Amino acid sequence: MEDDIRERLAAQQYREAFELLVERFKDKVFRLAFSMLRDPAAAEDMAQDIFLKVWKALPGYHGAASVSTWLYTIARNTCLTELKRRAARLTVSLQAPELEGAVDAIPAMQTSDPESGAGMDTHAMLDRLPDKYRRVVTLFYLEQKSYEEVSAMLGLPLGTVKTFLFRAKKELLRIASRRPMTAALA
Amino acid sequence: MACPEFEMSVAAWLEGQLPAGEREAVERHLIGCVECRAFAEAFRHLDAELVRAVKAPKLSADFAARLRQRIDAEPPAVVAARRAELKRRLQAEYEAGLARMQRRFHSFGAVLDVLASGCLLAGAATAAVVNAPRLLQFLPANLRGLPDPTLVVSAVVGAVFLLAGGIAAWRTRGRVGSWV
Repeated sequence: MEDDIRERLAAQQYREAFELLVERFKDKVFRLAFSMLRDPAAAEDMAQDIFLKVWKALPGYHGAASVSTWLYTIARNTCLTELKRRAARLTVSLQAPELEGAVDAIPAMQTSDPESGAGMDTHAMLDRLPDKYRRVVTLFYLEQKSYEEVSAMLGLPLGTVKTFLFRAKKELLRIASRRPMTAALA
Repeated sequence: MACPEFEMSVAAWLEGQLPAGEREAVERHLIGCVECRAFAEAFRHLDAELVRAVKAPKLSADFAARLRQRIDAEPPAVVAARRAELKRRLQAEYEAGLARMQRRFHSFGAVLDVLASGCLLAGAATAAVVNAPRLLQFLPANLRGLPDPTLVVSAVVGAVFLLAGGIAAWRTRGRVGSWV
């Protein structure tokens, strides 16, 4: 699947190799970014940035890892950097004195209380999972339930993917059992 | 509450991930265990709900075109790589040149050391030879009958030269060696 890309890279035909890379991996990179950032627009912008980085780094690819492994590593690291940047920004903004008290007044914050009993859909349940579990679950269903794809995209061993998925589902069932659920889970 | 030892197997069974032997064991267990059957049913419902809810958003149709525009605005990858290589080579040449200059400077300093030591010793030796008759007056009376006072002074000066030259050479070698 990657031989043609590798051949073009070996021949220093970077533009051609890049075109093949984008055509073949743009949807996967986008879905990986979506599973990490949870926002389609941000994921698309991130996918653009990822491929731009890949373009700049392409002459430095020496073939030690497969092209897809190399690409997914750049994608994951770029997303993680963005998440850290966001977390830092959020911390700073929530520390502003004028925001104290305002956060508690937001209705969404109140209904997300575990004991409130407010209606909750599957996305809200997924939002309550730890990041590492939520990414695995999301990507598993985005990638047509392929453990191997999830393992390659997230850079996790296959056994870890299976364990995370099982734990995530158990956690979802636990969350569901504590509150009124959508019809499908009732 | 499902049997803990069967939970993961039940989940794998639902996904069709179990080999034949284990699959039959799980199926036999499910026939006799109400809790595990309920657990399997809940897992199946959850799976169906996740299939329904987790949908991949669509990438914009102009994604590749926009990316191409951004790429075209960048210097070509190969140019960037050559630029990086050129920068690396220039840096290496600069560092090598700097090291060469440092070696030369310190070698020159060592030569100056030797010359200065030599001049100093030559001055001292000349003064000793010129003033040898007067210096001999300070010798004890029983030593004044030596065969040739000038020979003695020359031997002493020669020994001092030898010692000083050895020290200078040793210092020079140590200094230059540390920079090479």
